Order: sequence, then structure tokens, then C-alpha cells
Amino acid sequence: MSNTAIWTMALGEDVREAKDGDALLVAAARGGDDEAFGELVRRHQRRVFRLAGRFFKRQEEVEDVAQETFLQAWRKLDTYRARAPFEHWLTRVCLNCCYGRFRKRKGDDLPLEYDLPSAAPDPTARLEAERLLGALAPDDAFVLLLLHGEGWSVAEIAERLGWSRANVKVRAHRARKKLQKLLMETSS
Amino acid sequence: MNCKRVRLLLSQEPAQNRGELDRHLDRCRACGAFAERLERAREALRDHHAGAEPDSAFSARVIARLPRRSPTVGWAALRLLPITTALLLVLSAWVWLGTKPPSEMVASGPTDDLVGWVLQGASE
Ligand SMILES: [Zn+2]
Repeated sequence: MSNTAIWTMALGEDVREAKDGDALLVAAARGGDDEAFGELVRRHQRRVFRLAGRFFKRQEEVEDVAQETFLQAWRKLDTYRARAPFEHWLTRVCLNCCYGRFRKRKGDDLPLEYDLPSAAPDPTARLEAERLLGALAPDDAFVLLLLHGEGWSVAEIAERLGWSRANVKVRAHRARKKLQKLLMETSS
Repeated sequence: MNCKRVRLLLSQEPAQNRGELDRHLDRCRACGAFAERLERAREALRDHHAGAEPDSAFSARVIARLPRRSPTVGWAALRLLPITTALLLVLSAWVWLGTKPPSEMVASGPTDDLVGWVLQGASE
């Protein structure tokens, strides 16, 4: 019988989705059980892809960041404390991966390449967003995407990025101010 | 309320003085256009998403890249190493202190008697 089948029996089909299941899987993965870790990946992969997709436009790049997120999670699994849900901890790992790459990518003058269907079907709106983000400092653009995209508060962003609230607040303020300025320039 | 102030307030989230802002927007076309653009920009940021989805083989690709991890028992044993070492040291010290030095062993005990007995036996 596979390990996955054993956990399923231990947890019961109905509570498979329960957060408690994550704790059990984390414990097994810490012991070197990569099948348990595979189950954790399957549980959280959609959320990781969604978050990475906020910052990167090509499927290949989103996949890279998602893989990096789970590899980091595997390496750092011993630092996870079960006080907070595993999902929160993983979000933080994912954000750190996105942030590192986003900063690097923003420096490169790469053409805007989309090979994915976007949630924004209006190409004008999409270009507008790119223009606004391109005019911002990487850190400010990163915060702005989390504020508007994920709908997180300053406090939530600070907690999940491990930044101070003051830092996030300053960046959010600066990004909004810049947004206003850019719109004023084009609408006057 | 002038247009500059209106646009500043509109850019804040959530916008303050909503009633006053709405009254201004009703009669100022330039600010109305600004408010519309601002809303569109916010929408674009909200929808700024690649729409990427993992395929069914994603977890397998991750697993294939995992470096090997030593089992938990190994880690537990490593964590206990200082305690194990300390215990061994205490035990060694106890055994060492509890044993008589070699000089005492020679000076006392049956050795003298044995020599005497041998000599006595020889002289008889
Ligand atoms: Zn006005």
C-alpha cells in the first residue's frame, strides 16, 4: 500500500482537505518522505501558481518560480513552526522567490511577452497596467500588485513579506502617488 | 474643493469625503475622466495575472528535483549527540575514579601472602 493511501485512510476522505492533514504531511516530509511532500505540492500548487502569476507573464517563468518555491520549502521545512497554517508559511516562501526574481527581471529590459490567457481580456487595460508598473521602482510595483491584486492590507503584506509595516506603507504611498501623477499627466 | 485636492483624495484608498467628491465629479468633466481612468488602472492591476495553472505532472517534476533528506531519526540522533557525549564522559569519570590505582593493587592484597606461602612451602 502506498504512503498516500495510508494517510488517506488515517485522515479519512472527508477530512483530507482539512488543515490538520498538512501537519501530518509536513511531519512525514521532514522525515524524508518525498511522497508526503508530493501530496503537499498537489494541495498548494494552484495557490502558488496564482500568486507567481501576478508577477510573471510567461508560463515557463511561473513554473520556474513555483518549482523554486517548493524546493525552498523542502529545504527549509525544519524552520516551519506549526503555530501558523502551512499555507501562510508557504505563501511567504513563494513571495520571497517572486520578489528576488521580480527585482532582477525588472532590471532587464525584456519585451512584454504573454503566452498565457490573462484574466484581463482588455488589451488596453493590460498595457496600461504594464505602463504603470514599468514606471515604478521594483519594490513599489511589488507592493502595488499585492495591494490591488491580492487585496491584502498593508499589515498583511508586511507580515507575509517579513517587512516592517512602515516600509510597506511608504512603498504603497509612493506607488499610489506615482499612479496618480501618471494618470494626471495623461488625462489633463 | 479644487480639482487638485479632488484627484488627491480619489487616489487614496478608501477615498475620503465621498459625498463632496461625488458632487464635484458631477459638475467637473476633467475630474470625472480622471476618476474613470483611475478605476480602470485599479482594475488592470487587480486583473494583472498570467492565468497560469499547474499541469498534472507538476508535482512529479518537483519531486524529481528534491535533494535527498536524511531521515528524522538521523536528525534526532544528531541532536542528542551532546547529551550522549556528556553521559559517556560522566560514566568514564565514574569508572576511572572508582578504580584503585595500580600502586595500591601491588602493595596490598594476597600477593605478599602468596610469596610467603610459596617460600614457606619451599623451606618445609
Ligand atoms: Zn475637477
